Amino acid sequence: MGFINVKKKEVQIKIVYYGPGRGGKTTNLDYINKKYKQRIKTEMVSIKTHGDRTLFFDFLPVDIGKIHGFDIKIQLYTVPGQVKYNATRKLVLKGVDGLVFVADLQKERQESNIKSLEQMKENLLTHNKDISKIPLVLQYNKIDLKKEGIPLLSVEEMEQDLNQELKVPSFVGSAITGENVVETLKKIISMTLISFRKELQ
Amino acid sequence: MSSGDEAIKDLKAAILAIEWEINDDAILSLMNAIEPLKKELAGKKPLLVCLQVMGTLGQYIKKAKQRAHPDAIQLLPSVFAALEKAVTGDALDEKEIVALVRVEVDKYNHLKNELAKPRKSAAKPSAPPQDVTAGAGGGGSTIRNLMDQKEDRAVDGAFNALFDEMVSGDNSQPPSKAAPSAMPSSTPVKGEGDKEVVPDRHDEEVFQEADDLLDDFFSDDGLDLSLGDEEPGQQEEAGGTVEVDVGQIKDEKVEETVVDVASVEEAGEEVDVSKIERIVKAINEDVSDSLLAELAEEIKALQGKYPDHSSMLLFLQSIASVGRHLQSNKECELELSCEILQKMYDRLSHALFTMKPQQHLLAAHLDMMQDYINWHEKIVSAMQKTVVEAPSVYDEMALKKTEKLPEEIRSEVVEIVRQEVDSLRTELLELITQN
Ligand SMILES: Nc1nc2c(ncn2[C@@H]2O[C@H](COP(=O)(O)OP(=O)(O)O)[C@@H](O)[C@H]2O)c(=O)[nH]1
Ligand SMILES: [Mg+2]
Repeated sequence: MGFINVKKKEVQIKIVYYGPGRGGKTTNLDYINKKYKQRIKTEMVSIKTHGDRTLFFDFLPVDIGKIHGFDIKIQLYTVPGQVKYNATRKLVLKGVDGLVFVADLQKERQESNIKSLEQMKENLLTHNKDISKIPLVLQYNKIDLKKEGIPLLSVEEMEQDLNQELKVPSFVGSAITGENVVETLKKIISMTLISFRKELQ
Repeated sequence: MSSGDEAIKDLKAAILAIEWEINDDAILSLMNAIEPLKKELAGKKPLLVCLQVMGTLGQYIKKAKQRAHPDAIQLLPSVFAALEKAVTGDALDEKEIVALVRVEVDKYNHLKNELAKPRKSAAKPSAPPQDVTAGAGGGGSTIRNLMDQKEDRAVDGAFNALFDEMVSGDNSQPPSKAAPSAMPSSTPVKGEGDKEVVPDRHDEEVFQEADDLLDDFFSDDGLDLSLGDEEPGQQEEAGGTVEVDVGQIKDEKVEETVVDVASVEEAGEEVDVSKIERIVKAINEDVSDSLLAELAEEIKALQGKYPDHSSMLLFLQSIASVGRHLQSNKECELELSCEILQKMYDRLSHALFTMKPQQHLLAAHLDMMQDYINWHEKIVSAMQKTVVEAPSVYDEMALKKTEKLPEEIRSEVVEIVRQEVDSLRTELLELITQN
């Protein structure tokens, strides 16, 4: 959960990027890290295997500035995608404040998207969190592949598969080109900070 | 015995609460209710057995939570009913009570056996490297199921250590020498002056100051927008990313990247197989005698260096035997053999990256064995064919040698698998029997 420390005048928020393996979570963070490296004073920590797969998680702390004198510290995490690392995914979700679900637009990934979202819901439950309440944004990633003629799901299909009940904000984007990567992040931080508004005023 | 009646009522309430919802409080009430009854029923052995079974079930359910076997949750009220009947029921004689309790103990023992078996639940697909087939023999999936559960727990342990390190804020001891500099000094661990906020969705609301701050921070103003040339996915040294490659952490590197690798150390001895990787890759491009000799040499070196790393040795042995085959019969199924070489290396390196090689290599062993056996069958049949066609060209001894290999390896696998499964079984049993 997020923390507000009145003494230190500091707010801490944990955002987790969740989604099927190879969907583009790490690439989202990489993009943010590279683009704002002058402003992000800390370093991104990435724990990877040889195959470039996230083994544990990626971790990128970002201090975005102050609201009413409070330092707003955001911690961005990704979870590993491989099926067998669910224990790690669960642990990374510990204390999560906001979620970005990165889905893969490729047709062949339709099942994995649905399964992963379903699992996220279950994993949240083990932390007593409700997917219908926690701040959540969906990102439909890899739209750039359309140009390459790779069969993609339509936005309507994605919405139907993933967002029919949730009805949360969703972005079509590309972590590779950066399209809507920043917008996604801004949206989830904004949604999460709303719960702190009273405390900060 | 009115205080006994009272205690029984408390126990009943606790058990009902657990049926309703499993949480730590409910289990605690159960334990608290059992304690006084132990004194109350001192000397009445069958009844004490009931209490003990309930205590054990409680411990198990506490640990397993949602994953607890449904029979365990059902057994609790069932044992209680027997106890209640024995205590409050009209004049059951000793024999009847023993019979009553025996039924419950049998159920308990049955459950214990069930728990020692792998779960049937399909909720957890097994997922060692891609394209996993049925595994070696009927035992494959069973063992792999066990492995999956095991991995989950081992990952929990290793990861917990690392994660706790990360989230231990400045209210704990100074981070250990190897704590990553990139980790924030104060992280979401509740400390003095902290107030928790659990964010909820408020779809209609807007927090203007927050949005302004976000617009500000994430604006493109003043950014060096040369981004287009750099693939964001690429690792570039000045990019400010601490890359921790768990597979490759060496002592000096640990100092540099300053990530606490306690969990990595736990992963067992760090083994560098990069030379094998390079050789296998080169072999796949062009097989030469010198490369094959190099491969054999490197394998020998690793075998000498890690004589106790039984899991890895098994991989090495298989790789070596494919290498030997190539050395003696380059013509026979060349492509297939190069392919299997690569695949075996991939499995080895994948397995070495998992956290506790000694245990986790098991699933990979089975997959590799399957690959090996398939390869071997093809080789043998190809060789037989050529032997028939041109018996003089091929050395029949080579055929025999190749034929003998799987037997050796197979028995070694069986031994390792047996040991590993035994230890897994013991651990699972401990989980349910510890009190
Ligand atoms: N074409 C394309 N490829 C992407 C995009 N996002 C990620 N990828 C690629 O997909 C692969 C997996 O991405 P990664 O970020 O590691 O996925 P993760 O497992 O979710 O962290 C990598 O090869 C990325 O370069 C995207 O938007 N478009
Ligand atoms: Mg990743």
